[in-house]
Amino acid sequence: MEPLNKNNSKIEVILSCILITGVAASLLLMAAGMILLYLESGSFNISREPSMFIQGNNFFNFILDIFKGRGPENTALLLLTIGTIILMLTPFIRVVASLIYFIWIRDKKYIFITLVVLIILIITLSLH
Amino acid sequence: MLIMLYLFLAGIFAGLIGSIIGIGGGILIVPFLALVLKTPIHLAIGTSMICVLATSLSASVRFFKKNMINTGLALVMEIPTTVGSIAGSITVAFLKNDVLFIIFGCFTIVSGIFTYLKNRFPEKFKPLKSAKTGTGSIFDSEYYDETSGKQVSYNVKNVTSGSAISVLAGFFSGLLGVGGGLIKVPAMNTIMNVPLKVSTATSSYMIGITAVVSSVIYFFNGFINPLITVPAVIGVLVGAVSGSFAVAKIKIKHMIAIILFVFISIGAMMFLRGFGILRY
Repeated sequence: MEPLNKNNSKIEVILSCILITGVAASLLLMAAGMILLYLESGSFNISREPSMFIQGNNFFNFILDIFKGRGPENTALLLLTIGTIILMLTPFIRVVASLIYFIWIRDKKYIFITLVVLIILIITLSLH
Repeated sequence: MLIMLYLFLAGIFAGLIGSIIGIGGGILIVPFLALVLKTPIHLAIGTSMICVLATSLSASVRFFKKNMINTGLALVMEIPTTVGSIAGSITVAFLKNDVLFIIFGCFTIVSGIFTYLKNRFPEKFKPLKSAKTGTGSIFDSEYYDETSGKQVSYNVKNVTSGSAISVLAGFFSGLLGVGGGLIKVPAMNTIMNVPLKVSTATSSYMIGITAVVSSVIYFFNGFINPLITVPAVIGVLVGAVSGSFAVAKIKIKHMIAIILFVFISIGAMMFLRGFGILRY
């Protein structure tokens, strides 16, 4: 079998793009959220109310709730939350992209390995 | 209250130092939040993990450009590491503050000594003799070494023992909100015969997945507050990017004694705080 690192510049470019996009999108939303927070409250105070914490029973449900408009009501906090979530999902998307690539090049061994990683990730994200 | 500004500055500092001396920065963020800003330690750990995640992602982009990440090896080692980090992230919720302070203190002191030795005596960090014999594996690869200007090929050995150590690295990562590279990098280098630069890059790349798993579990437990996390993450990213430019110009050897001193002081303070000797 060919070592994975040789001649696989294509996948590395794709993965690199995913990482850059994820970090940039998240950073943008976080920065926008911070600016909005300052404009809204006039200060950078941190409320210690429990409602300000990201907490939930299931990560996927939490994301769905945000899409349905049931996330934090405060727009600034919503942006900060989505920014954090994008950051957390970026590596997940990276693994999905790797899996698609290995299926594309029909590399059975790596399809299996990537599937195991993905299953562990999905279990952690959806259980609890 | 300027707490968000402090978080931002702490992030910049951790990101900058982290990328210069080659650590994730979590080891600096947790003590700063817990000791200086008096954030509950569980929240400090959650915040740190998101920062570590951000650093790992941005560093991976840089390492990809230099083709230093062994993606195949990373995928395989991610499995045991993630299992370890799930265990660690669940354990942390059951541990009392004091215990976490003590474990963190010990970990910081050991890390400080290790970082010192690694930078002071780089020639001592070589693959073990046993790792040099025998055939390679499917993970064998090559990378371009900037220092020598040559393409260096390497064989990857002892993947099983390396994976076993990754479980431990994952556990501490999930338990303390750090990346765990301080355990993984030397293990990959000495046991698995992976060149130091490739070990660092691959470890950093793997931390992305480990950090996701831990941060999702922290998230269930309410250890992540975006209002605390975000300023620190923005700071860390700014710091890490500036650090990557500075790293070529700064000679680490000159400041390594200071780094050792800082690590031991931080570790000692966390340790004393855990035993209730240090109160404020």
